[in-house]
Amino acid sequence: MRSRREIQISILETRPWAPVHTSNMTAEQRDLFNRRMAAIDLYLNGDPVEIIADLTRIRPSELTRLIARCGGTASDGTVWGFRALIPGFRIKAYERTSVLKKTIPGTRSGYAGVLNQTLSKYPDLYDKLVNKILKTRAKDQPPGTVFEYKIAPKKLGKIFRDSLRELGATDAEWPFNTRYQGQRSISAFMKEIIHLNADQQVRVYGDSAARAHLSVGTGSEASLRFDEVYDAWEVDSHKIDAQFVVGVRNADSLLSYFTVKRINLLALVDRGSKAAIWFLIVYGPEVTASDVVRLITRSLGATLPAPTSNKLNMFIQGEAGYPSERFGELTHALPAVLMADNALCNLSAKVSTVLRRESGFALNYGPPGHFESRPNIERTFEGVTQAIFQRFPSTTGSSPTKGRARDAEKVAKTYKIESDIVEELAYHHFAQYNATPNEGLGFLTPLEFIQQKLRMDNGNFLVRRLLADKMEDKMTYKVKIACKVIYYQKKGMRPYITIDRVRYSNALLRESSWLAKETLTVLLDEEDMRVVEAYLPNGESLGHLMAAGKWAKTKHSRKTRQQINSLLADKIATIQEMQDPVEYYLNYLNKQLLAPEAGADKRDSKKTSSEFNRLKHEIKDDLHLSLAVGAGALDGEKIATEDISEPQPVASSTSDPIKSLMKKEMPDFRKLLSKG
Amino acid sequence: MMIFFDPANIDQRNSMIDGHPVVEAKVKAITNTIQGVYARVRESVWLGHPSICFDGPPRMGKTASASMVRFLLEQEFPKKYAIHISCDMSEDDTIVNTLVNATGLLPKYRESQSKLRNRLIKHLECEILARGGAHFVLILDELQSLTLAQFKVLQMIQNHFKLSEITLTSVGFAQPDIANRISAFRLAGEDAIVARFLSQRVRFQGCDSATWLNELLQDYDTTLIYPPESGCSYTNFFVPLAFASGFRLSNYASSIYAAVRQAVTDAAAARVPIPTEHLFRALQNLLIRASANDSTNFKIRVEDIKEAIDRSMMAEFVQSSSRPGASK
Repeated sequence: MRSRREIQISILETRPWAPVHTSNMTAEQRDLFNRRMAAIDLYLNGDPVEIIADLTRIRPSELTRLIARCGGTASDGTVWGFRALIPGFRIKAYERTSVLKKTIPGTRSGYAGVLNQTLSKYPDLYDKLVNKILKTRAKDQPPGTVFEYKIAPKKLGKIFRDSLRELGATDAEWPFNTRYQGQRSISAFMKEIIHLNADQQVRVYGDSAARAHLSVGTGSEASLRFDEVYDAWEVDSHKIDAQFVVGVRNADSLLSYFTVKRINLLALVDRGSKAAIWFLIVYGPEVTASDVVRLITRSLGATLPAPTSNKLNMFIQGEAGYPSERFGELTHALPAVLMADNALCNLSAKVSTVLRRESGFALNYGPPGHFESRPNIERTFEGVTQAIFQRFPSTTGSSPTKGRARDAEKVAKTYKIESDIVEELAYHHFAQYNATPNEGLGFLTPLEFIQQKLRMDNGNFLVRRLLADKMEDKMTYKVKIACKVIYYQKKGMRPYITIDRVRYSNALLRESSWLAKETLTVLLDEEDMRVVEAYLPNGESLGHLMAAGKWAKTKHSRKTRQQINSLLADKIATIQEMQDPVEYYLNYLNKQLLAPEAGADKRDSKKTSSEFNRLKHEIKDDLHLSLAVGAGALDGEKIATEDISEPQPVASSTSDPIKSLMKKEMPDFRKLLSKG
Repeated sequence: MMIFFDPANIDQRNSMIDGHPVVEAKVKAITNTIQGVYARVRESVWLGHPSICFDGPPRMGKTASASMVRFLLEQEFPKKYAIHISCDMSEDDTIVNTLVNATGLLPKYRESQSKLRNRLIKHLECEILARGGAHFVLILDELQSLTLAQFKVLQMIQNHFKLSEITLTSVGFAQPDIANRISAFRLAGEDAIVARFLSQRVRFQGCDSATWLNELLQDYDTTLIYPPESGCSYTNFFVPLAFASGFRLSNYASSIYAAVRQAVTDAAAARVPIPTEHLFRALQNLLIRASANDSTNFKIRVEDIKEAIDRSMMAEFVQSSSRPGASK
């Protein structure tokens, strides 16, 4: 038994104890708590236990119990302290001590604490169950043990019972003598373990978002802070799932339609000001490195490539706009750091090496799967999805069960959307977003924030800017590919190269049959595929090669062409669905041969027969006919391009008056007409 | 020879109505647009410019203007040789073949393109010299369809003429797609082609005001005559009784223009050009319907104008051309 002195020292070592807030207690509870607290303090003061009992009505035996409770260690590693004095406060889970009595099967009472009692009897069983729930490896299990994705309480109950059997439990013992075989206790136990191990539970069962959130809200400051304008840009892509039937202008200025179930929205957001720098819409399931490069190079241009069309008849109003448009000093401005995620497109050499070196910014990929390291862009995407795409009549909602429009596909086919309109929607959304007060900026708009930051310290804000001589190279970023020269001498086809199913050639190449099978280096601007630059293997220039046919006519991007090429699959499907006329003709000839009256005119019958044989032979020789048609000769395939008519200087219109240099008056047209 | 024609004679009128230019949609009117086009063309031709190009949306009357330009050039400059061709040719056709057809030259069996081209140049030279001039005006309709290779052939012909001291002026009529062609040629470094054939561009403007329409309708009332040399104006032909009591179509120019502008704006949900061809069709409807109700106190009602516009399918055309996917 410890002396009073020893007890006093051990208590004082752990003091001061965390205070307890008593205002929510009932008067009786508060009185009891205060008396208990006073008793402990008096004990520490060295007052005799009898006096303490007189003053506080706490008996010496009770005081000993309270002191022991307060000095105990809680599960969080701290001393219980005054918490242990709260009336009705449990410092220990209920521990069953009595042996389970025999009960009539089906009765519900008399089982309190039986699971804990069983588990304390078999400590290894407790560990086994916890390991199963939290997917942690037992000591005897080798590294890399595979666990069930998310164990069900029922399955855990079976493991529990099987283990008990192995440990020698009999039918007369709990849980085998109960109706539910202890299943309810196991379910409650599982819940409790999950609650007690919240972090581990999220790591094990949570989705990527939940896992990512684990690292936030821990109270620790981020080591990298980007508070200034253009300190860092966040770049990310966001998938928008909806049934889109997007129209893209083809070479005839008509629209070719293709169904898209996913549009990718690629955007740049300034970390400090939360302003959207620029965006890019990618029609397709994945974003490529070229898209990222395109987004960044476009955002660095002197003028942003705003949609040329205005089908929505919307205009930028008031303060809305983009930073580089609104503030001249931000033209060609670069961030110090580009914060990208670990998507393949960002990791590729085009971005991680070429673009980084040429632009001179640092790259911060952040830890994989942690989108929260780029909070602004994720929030911006949420905004644009809710504001635009989830309001479309063809939305597939935020999940398969939530917000999906009825007959989305049918609606999409009815209300086809033109790519121009998608661009316009996004353009206006981001422009307006930049002029919307943001709580995180003290209710300044991102553009106001930038403006104030730029004007601070007498306008001494220094912007990192791309050098003017580098600007042109950046804006005309070209992709290098290798192409083999094709030349079919026997067919009389002059040399050409093929890029994305379109032939390219020029006068020089057409005359250069010796270049057959030679591999040329081709530089192409993926934004404008009408013309490419070609170089011989020794580096000599072959000049500009022009796309064949209508592809040379309208400006179109490589992406557009690839999308249109993907329509080829539809063409094959359509051909397969159609009835084959040759087959019908064969049947017709067959019927004629077999018809009883066929014998009436032998000459006719003979003619039909030979025709039938000829056709049969032809078809046999050309079984791949439909496939060849499907594969599509270049000239016949369905093609499309974006209609990006470049603004051309138009001198005047026919209705403008003309100042003629001719001294001779305009003739009398009516007289001329009557002469004719 | 003066033809005696009395529009009030219903039988005589009915026997001639089928061949009326309004009914046959062959009205040859000198609209303000044609005047604007021609003023620029004659200036370019007179100054020996290498080219001028007009661009505008379809159905604005570009082809009719091109024909008219050729006709007027021949009248005003009889020494200059003008040809009007359409560049909207099939893929296996060439500008040389099209020119050969237009000049009436017969191609020889299995004649090579280069020989045909040389023969064509010789023939054109003969035609020009026969007129006592040294100027060839080539009017090219649907210029946006001409490929780079065809432009190069044109360039070659032009160079050839230059050696023979003959000037070639090309007058192009194109759809707005020509802008794409120009940018593609620039991209390919074919600046010489752009400079020579596509540098002087003028926007082709159709009916853009009530004044424009008023002048056209005045022609219907006065100078446009049918039967030829009968002295009977188009308006007089269709509503002789009303015409005799002072009815003039041009008095309705403002209300017709307002109704047409409204119909077009409603159909396109934006301010787009009025399609000239449909405007002529609306006038055709208006006059033919008016002939049935001709009387001394005849007046055109707003409903009549609206119905004529409806029947001209103007709104349908505007709608289809302004919907996503329509050809510009």
